[in-house]
Formats: sequence, structure tokens, C-alpha cells
Amino acid sequence: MFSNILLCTHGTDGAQKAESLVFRKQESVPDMVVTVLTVLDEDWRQMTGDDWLNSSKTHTVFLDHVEEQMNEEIAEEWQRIKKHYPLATQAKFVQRTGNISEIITKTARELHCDLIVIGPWTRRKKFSIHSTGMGLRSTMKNKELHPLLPCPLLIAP
Amino acid sequence: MSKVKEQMPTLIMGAGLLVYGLIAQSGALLPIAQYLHTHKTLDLQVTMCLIVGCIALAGALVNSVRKPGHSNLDTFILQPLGGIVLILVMAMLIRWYAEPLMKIISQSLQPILGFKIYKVLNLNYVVLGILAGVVLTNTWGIPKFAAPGVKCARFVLKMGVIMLGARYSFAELAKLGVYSVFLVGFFVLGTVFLVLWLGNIFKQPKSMTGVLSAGMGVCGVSATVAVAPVVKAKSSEMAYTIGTILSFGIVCMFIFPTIGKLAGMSPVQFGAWAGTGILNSAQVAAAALAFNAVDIETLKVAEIFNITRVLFLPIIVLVLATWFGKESGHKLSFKTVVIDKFPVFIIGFLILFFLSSIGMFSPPSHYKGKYIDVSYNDRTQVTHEEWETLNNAIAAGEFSGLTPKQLEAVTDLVKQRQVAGNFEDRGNKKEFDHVGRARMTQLEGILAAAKAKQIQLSADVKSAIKHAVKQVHKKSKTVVTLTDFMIWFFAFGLIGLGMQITKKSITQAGGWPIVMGVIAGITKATLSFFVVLWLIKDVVLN
Amino acid sequence: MTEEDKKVTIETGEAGKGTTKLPKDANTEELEERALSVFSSDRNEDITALIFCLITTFLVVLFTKWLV
Repeated sequence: MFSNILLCTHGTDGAQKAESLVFRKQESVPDMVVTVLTVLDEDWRQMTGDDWLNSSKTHTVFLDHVEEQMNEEIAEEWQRIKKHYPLATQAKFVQRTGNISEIITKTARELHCDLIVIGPWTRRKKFSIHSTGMGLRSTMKNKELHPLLPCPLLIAP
Repeated sequence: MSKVKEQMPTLIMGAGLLVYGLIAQSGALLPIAQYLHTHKTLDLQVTMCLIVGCIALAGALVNSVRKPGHSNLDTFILQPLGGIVLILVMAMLIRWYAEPLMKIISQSLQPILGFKIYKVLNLNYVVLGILAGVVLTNTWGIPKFAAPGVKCARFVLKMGVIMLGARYSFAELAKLGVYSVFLVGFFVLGTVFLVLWLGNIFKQPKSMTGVLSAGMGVCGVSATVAVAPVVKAKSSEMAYTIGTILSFGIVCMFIFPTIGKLAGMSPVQFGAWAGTGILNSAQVAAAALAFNAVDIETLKVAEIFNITRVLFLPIIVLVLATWFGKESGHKLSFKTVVIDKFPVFIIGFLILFFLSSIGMFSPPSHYKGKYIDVSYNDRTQVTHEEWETLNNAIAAGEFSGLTPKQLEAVTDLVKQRQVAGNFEDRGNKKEFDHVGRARMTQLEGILAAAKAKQIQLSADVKSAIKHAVKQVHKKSKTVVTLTDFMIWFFAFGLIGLGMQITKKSITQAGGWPIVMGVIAGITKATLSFFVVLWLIKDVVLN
Repeated sequence: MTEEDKKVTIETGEAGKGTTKLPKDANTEELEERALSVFSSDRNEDITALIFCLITTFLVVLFTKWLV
């Protein structure tokens, strides 16, 4: 039924459920096109908070470092997916920067996807001292994502 | 038409300011202002509202007909105008309405709550301004028309620091400088090593302890931002560290002034403590102004500590780069870190300090610029605590031994919160001055009598009267005006910086950084508290 | 395309020591926004702040000291 799928992942437990759902499904529907999308949160720009002592150059160096670091971490994530699911090697991997909901829907529209798959909302352990993945701990809000949707949204259980 | 629509907020604010200024000038606001105890600032209100209102209107009109370009006029004046006016309006509303209202409300809530809200939370205009900024960003977000203007906050805060340079004397700067270099040096290096050691114990990656140690040791987020690329921090490490530092800093901003007041710290002691213990440098200024928003003694001390820390930052970056070793992300040399990054505004600070040292700001007719000024000014007032002491003393009949004239002077001091002539006579400068000076002489008489043990006064009452008398012995009109400018610069800058603190960045706090950060932060704050109390006793500022 | 071709050179003013190389597909609008202030470089900002302060000081001294 669905032939062009946008899989949104950033490596958390929830997102990994989405990954397994999509790639297991692909085993039975081989001609399904899968695009793996990882969004780099634009809010990194606000992470400098009320710092006023550093020069703009230091800020740029910092944000460049964030971007570089995120690219590395995202590349590792993709490597992990490819290793885990042999079919994933055929998938297209896309990385974008911006507001998460907006980027997901925009990418789906551009690639003419007919289904968006995301992981479920999981209760995050607030003060767990172990790293819970990469990037900012950010979640999408349904009320922001839903009005923008160009196609059905599937939440992996 | 869309351009006009974009300029709507600025147009409305400009028109509003003009209307307000005109109403204030007509004298219609006098009863409200008197109720709020802001009537002495009415002249300033009129001037500021008219000037800012005219500029806002003119700018908005130009913006709505002119094609936006890339000239200097566009980048520096026309585009940021909306945001600048917005912050100014916020600052004015807070100084003239929110803060006085807060005081009145908490005064009336005292019987129910048993304490005064503004006193416990130090809700003066600085803290309220930062809070307003934070709230605005996290609810509606910074309005689009204001975004370029908000970026000016950093610039204006720098201007505040430069202007502050005019307020030091050689002796003060030398003494404070020595203290700050020792204290900051000790605590910066101490915290950095403490965090590195904690990281070792908890077996945490080098990149994380590197970022965290700089952030906890030197100046918060600024240091984290500077060090992260050097130690190649991971994304989650940076997020955790920044979140931890921001939330810790905001808690400090509220707790420090309260603890300082409870412990009875002097302005100098508090400035030194805040300058060492609080992480983010904007929050140091905020806490110093929160401790005492009327005088600027605390701010003077805290800023020296702040500047010392800024100068320490490159050293720490170098130290951490060496510690991190060859894997370090960016090549660093002494020149790239220390010389290229040297903050030029500190030279500005020194220039103003130099100008003031050669007597630039003091009138030639006064020795060292000192003279008596009984005219109205926010900073000539006694503090709210002192005012309460005096008010209670009158109610308790503590002034029974005074002559009628002396009693009149004290009663007026309570009424006006400062030594001054009658409010109704403010148009007649000569009469106003004469009455004000006579009252000051009476108050000095009271102090002399108390010293000679002719009358009995409690120490608090004596110090309140002494402070009131001292407040009118001013340096010079020039210095006072410069200080007023500086205070407004600080208020503007801090509100703008408050707008850059997002909820999202605060809620990133977590992971090992929050554990190690809290341990290191509390250790540093506690230790520096005792060291400051023990070490700094004798510095007296003019 | 070689690695060098993928980059563009932009003017970054004094503090950036002239020019910086960026990937060609980088979002330059975003980069501009990255700067925390309206000034093109930190040094410009500091010097402008200093000049503003000197002007303010001069005006204050003029009106409160020399003209009184």
C-alpha cells in the first residue's frame, strides 16, 4: 500500500522501534522506497544562552563544532542502522537542519512520501546520569506536527 | 503595505510613549506616581518618553516607506530600532511601575504570608527585568520585529561596563584588583581541578570533564562555548553542561542576594562573593544589582571580579588544551587565544577610569568634585530596609529627645525617603535647596547628639540617617549623570540577555554533568562565602 | 569536484582575519544569524561601544560641567 516511506530517527529507544518496524516490513515488500531522515535541531543556536563575553567568532567556532560533532554522531547512527538491517543499505539517508516538525513534513513533501514513520513518545528519565543518545533532548509536539502533515503518520509501537 | 504592518508594533510603542510623556508632563499622573513613590522620576519619565517616542515614530515611518538595504544606517539603526524600543519600554515599565507595585503588593500581603515577597526573592527592577525577558522568550518568543534589536543587548551591556570605569579611584582599583586576582585565581583553578578530579573518580570521558570544568570554573556558558571545540565535546555533553550551568546560575541569582542579606554581608563582601561564586557573568551583574540596586558599590566590586574572570578565560582555554593533549580539535597558540581574543571593551573601561582619575568628571570649583546635592534622584534615597527602620522608630517614639526641627527633618526623611526640600517647591530651586540643606544640617545634628550620648538611638537608626546624609554628599553632577546612564545600560543589557535564556536550553540539564556540576558549584559557593567573609573586611569604597 | 571547489570564500572582517572558507551548500543566511550581535565583528562592536561611551561622556560633561 505504501511505497515511499520517510523514516525519522535520531537513535533513541523509541526511534529504534520505528527503524525495526520499517525494515522488517521492507523484507516482505522489497520494492518499497525508504528514506531515513535525521534532523539536526535548530535550537542549538539558542544553547549559547546569555553568554555575552565571547566574540561572534567564538560562537561560530562553537556552532561549527556542534555541527561537525553532530554530523559525526549522525554518521555513526546511520552506520549502526546499516549494520543492523542489511536492507537499509538500499535506503536513502538524508540529514537536515531546522525545526523538527517543519523539516519532517517539508522533506516528506519534497520526496513525495506517502507515509511518515516515527517512534513512540517515551517517558524520558529526567535525571538519569547515563547519556540518552545524541543531540538535544527534544520532542515534537503533536499539535505542531499534525497540521503540517502531507501524508499519513505512523507511530511505531 | 506589508512594510507598514511590520512596523506597526514600533509605531504603536512610539505613539504610546509620546502620549504617555505628554500626559505625564501635564501633571495628570502625579497622584498615581506619588502612590507608587515614583513621583521624583516624573521629569525623567517625561524626557525619556518624549525622546524615545519621537525616535521610534520617526524610525518606524522611515522603515515603512524606505526599501530595506544593507547600509550602515539599516544594520545599526533602522532594523534594530523595534527591538531597542521594546526593551526600553520594558525597562521603563518595570522601573516605574512593576517594581513599585511589587513592593506595595508584598507590603500588603505581609500580614497574610508573614514575610515580604520582594524581600525574599529580591524582586527589584533588575531581577524583574531578567524574569520578564525569560518569560517573553519562553511564552510568545521574541517578536520578529524585535529580533535584531535584542542582539544589541550585549553591545549595551559592554557600554555599561565601560561607563562603570568612571567610578573607580586608583586606590580602590588596586585593592580590589589584588583581591580579585587572588580569589578568582584560586577558585577558578580550584574548581577546574576539582571537576577534573571528580571526572576521574566517576570515570567520565575527558571531553566532558573538560567542558564542565571550564564552565564551572570560569564564566559559565561563555567558557563552555569557548572550550567545547577545543576538547571536542560530544553533543550530549555540551547540552547537559550548558543546561546544568544555566539552571544553576538562575538559582544562584535568586539565592545569593537572600543569603548575603541574611548573613549581613557588606556590599563589598557580597560583590566579591557573587563575583567568585556565581558562574555566568551576566548573572553576577544581576545578583550584584539585586543585592543593592540603589547604590552601585556592590556592582563596582562584582564587575572587577567579572573582568578578572574574563581575563582568566583564555588562560583556562590554554590549560585545558594542553591537558587534552594532541587530540585537541583546534590548534591554539598564545597569540590566537590571548591576543586575538582580548576584549577591547576592557580597554574602554580603563580609558574611562583614566579620564576620571585625572579629574575630568569633577567640577573645578569642588575639591575632588564633592558637593551637596539635595535634588531628587533614585540613588539618593535610603534603602527600603533603612526606610522601614526609620518608620518603625518614629512609630515607636524613639526620637523623643529631638528638637522640633530635628524631628521635622526625620519625619520628612521618612516621607521622602531622602534628604530633600519640599516636593511642592521643586520648581523653585533656591528654596528647595535651602530647605534640603537645612534638613541635612538637622540630621547631622542628630548624629552628633547621638555620638555625644545626649540622645539614645539604635545602631540601625543611626546608620540609616548616616546613609541618608552620605547620599546627598555627592561626587558631582557629572558622575551622577554618568552613573544613571550606566544603570540604564545595565538594565537594558540584562533584559536583553534574559531574552536569550530559553526553557529548552535549561531543561537539557542532566547526565553526569548535573551531578558533578552541583557538587563543584556548591563547594565553590560555600568555600568562597567563608573565604570572602574572612578575608574582606577593611575595603571601604567611596 | 575537488574539495576546494565545494567551498566559497566570504568576507568576515577584522576578527576573522579577512576571509573564511565555507562549504558551498552552507546556509549563509543561517550563518549570518549566528552572529550574536548586529556588528560584523567583535572588534567593531567593542570599538563602537567605546566610541558611544566617549560621546555620551562628552555630552554629559558638556551639559553638567562645562555649560553650567
